[in-house]
Amino acid sequence: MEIHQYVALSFLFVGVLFFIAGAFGLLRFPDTYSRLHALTKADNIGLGFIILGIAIEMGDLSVFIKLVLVWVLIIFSSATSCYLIARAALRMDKNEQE
Amino acid sequence: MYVDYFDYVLALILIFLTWQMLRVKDLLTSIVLFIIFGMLIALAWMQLKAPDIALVEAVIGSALTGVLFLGALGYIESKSQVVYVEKKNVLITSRVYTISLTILTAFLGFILFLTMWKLPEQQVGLHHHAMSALPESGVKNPVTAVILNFRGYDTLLEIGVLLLVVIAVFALNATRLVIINTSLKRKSRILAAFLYLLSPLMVLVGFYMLWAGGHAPGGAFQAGAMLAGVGILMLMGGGSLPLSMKFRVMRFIYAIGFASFICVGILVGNETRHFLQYPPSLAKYLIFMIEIFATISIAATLVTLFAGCTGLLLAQEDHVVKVKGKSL
Repeated sequence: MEIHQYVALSFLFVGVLFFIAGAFGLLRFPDTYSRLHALTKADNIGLGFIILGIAIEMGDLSVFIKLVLVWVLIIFSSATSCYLIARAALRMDKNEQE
Repeated sequence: MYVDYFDYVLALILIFLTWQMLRVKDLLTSIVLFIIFGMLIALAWMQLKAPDIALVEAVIGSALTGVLFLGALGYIESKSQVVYVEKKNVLITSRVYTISLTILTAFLGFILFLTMWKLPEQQVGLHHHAMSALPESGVKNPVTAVILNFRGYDTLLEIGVLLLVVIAVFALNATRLVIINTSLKRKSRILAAFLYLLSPLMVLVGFYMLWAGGHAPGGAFQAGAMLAGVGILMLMGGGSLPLSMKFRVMRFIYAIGFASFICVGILVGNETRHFLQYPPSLAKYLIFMIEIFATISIAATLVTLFAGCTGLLLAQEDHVVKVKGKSL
């Protein structure tokens, strides 16, 4: 294995670590809101590292641009769905308090 | 060799997920497990080197069906004012029934396992025949060639089933409702902004997947599911779509996929050719035309399914019923 494959492998490994951290946070945090924090932030950063690793392995510029576009779109959609889930959870909490 | 271990672990996870999905009493948990199960099945399809099927499974089998389940669950909970829905126990709880069912299932599993064990090492399927007939089929993607040319009859009946589904959805819901206009409670500015920015891109990707079906993984079902995603997000964000059988345009949109397929099938037949046997020179254009109409039909059907399952098609107190003219 050459040096750039080692670099790609380490990026992939770091990405997987972030995903594991996100899943751990999902299981261990006490509240819906903190779980949303763990899911969206950690998972998106993990995805960014995985995409970096794939891009270094592939070495093609057009593939890299497409993958970065995929990452940006996933960040958009996960942020939107995080907001919607938090809004629904807030509404449920308000209904329970009344 | 390591890839084999991954396949074994994946298979074990799938079996475990299925067991949990059926065992858990909370319906929300089993729906989420179902979505995860669908995604892992898509991964299994990728391991079997079938990207087209993996795409369809991930989008329609896992995501869309999961959304339908979740919408139905939310509708049930909102109607009956319970916080979570629990599964009732199985009606038949006798010991004889359980034991005989277990023995039968184990026997079936054992026979399937033996069959798989005895499969020949080399593939003796129709792969060679399909690839050798590929230049005559009019497309470069073998999956599209099989779906729309070699086995076009199957796809014709599948699209017919989708039309039946739309009729069934409207039969089970009130047909007085003409245009859905969801109340302000549902409207969300963030979702509206998200749609405003990204729905052109989603529509573009959908039509690109339709076009790319000729030479790469893609096709009518994937494109239709993508466009249905846009429609579903619009409904969730508080938009209004004219989903009703009362409009001539909507009836046309629902039926055009099936109708165009049948028309093409009938019109290509003459003294030397059968029903649905395209002339090789025209095959590419015929397939593309069928795919375009099928995409529109599939997208409209899936959005209507979502509206039906989520209770949006029923006239409720927080939906405003607006009656427009007789026809559009």
